[in-house]
Amino acid sequence: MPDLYTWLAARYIEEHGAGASPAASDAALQWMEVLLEASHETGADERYLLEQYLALANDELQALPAPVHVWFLERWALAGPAIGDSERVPHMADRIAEMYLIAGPGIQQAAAVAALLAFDRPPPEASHVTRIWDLVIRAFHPGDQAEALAPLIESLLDLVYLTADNGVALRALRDIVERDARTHYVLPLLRERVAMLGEERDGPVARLLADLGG
Amino acid sequence: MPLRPFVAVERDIRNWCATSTPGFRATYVEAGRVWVLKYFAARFLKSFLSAKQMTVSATPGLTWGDGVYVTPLRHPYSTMMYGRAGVMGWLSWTDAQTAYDATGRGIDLYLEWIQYFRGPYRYLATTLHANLANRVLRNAFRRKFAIDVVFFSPDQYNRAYVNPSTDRWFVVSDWNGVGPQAPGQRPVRSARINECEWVAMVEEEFEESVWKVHYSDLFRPVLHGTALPPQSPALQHDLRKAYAKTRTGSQSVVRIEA
Repeated sequence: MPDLYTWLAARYIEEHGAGASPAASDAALQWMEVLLEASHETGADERYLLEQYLALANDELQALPAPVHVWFLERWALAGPAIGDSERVPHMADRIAEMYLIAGPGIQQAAAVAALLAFDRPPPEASHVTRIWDLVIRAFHPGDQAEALAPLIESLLDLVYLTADNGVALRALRDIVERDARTHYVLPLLRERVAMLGEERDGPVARLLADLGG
Repeated sequence: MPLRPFVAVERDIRNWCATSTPGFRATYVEAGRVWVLKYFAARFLKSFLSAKQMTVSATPGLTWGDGVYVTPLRHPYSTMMYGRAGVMGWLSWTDAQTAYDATGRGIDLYLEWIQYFRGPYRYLATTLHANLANRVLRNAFRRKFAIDVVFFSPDQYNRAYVNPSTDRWFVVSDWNGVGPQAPGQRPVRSARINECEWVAMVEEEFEESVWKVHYSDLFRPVLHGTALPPQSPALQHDLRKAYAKTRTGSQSVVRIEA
């Protein structure tokens, strides 16, 4: 298999030459899916591709179009870490957390959040989405942190209402709130969403707020 | 205008599904089957014939998200601008437990629902990633309400072959093996449409408009002026006959003349 970046770039340039807009078309990804389907029985090729994605250099990642990031991050959200990968999980999760900043801003940030949730384990281990929080707090000026973190919180809230099995997203929100004791970025967004949805007291986020004394 | 309570909107959507489904079945199901057609470019015919399955379209920006885009057999001309090869198959009524009428109120309810999802809705309204955000929202909507088939009015037109007021197009859901946490993923091919066969070859050429809103038919105006094609029951009959013959092992293809 050729180098992933060269391969993806070549497919997108080819499409662009054929008149398709690289940002709008995902024919390269569909081609990749057909390729993966051929090796579906082992799944080895997909795991290889997913890990190659995380190993790309930052400038290569920044050059990739948004649909590529969404595709890879969603595949991570479905796959999660492989059995036997436990020692590598922190490294992989850190890299996916970095994708939130490298690939964003955009819908791909929600895909990065969903991918990290696939790595989560039951308490007492904190949700891996806290890595995004920690990264932003470390890397951003305090005046810019709230804006950088809003997509994380909005994505978790979207997942709570979009999916029937929302326990993992709710737990992740709770872990984020615990980190928010000094900054107060999260609670206003939770209250705003509860108000916007007209959520009753027994709604998922209203209950979370009540538990938090908010 | 303030949004209504979310639970009220979702209740209305479920009610709309409950209203749409009997209408869909009454109109399109015959003996437990919904007969459908799909047209695609001839260059894909060889790969179709090797698998005999329809592909799940996934280009961001498609009308109702990812799925198998087909037309009911009762509108056999309606999507032939999408390619010269026409294939036919059937959807079991058991795979159409929930249908959604995406015309009129169905559109309004969807537009209301998406506003609660701040992340994708913001990107939809304010960035150049609108296609990606649309895809996420449309897929999520169909998944949340377990919608098997969305039926909607044509949104690309041709003066001779597409009748926007009466024709309906379908998108059939297939999320096999894909969880809701990855709303842009789907299988490459779908087994939802059964016993697919190549049945038609289109003898018309179309040209897409710059803004992709309509297609011009190029042969028919020269051959027949402004006359519209013959009534579709005759073509439906021919397609059924070709399909039945092909199923017995003898390939038969209807030439759909301009």
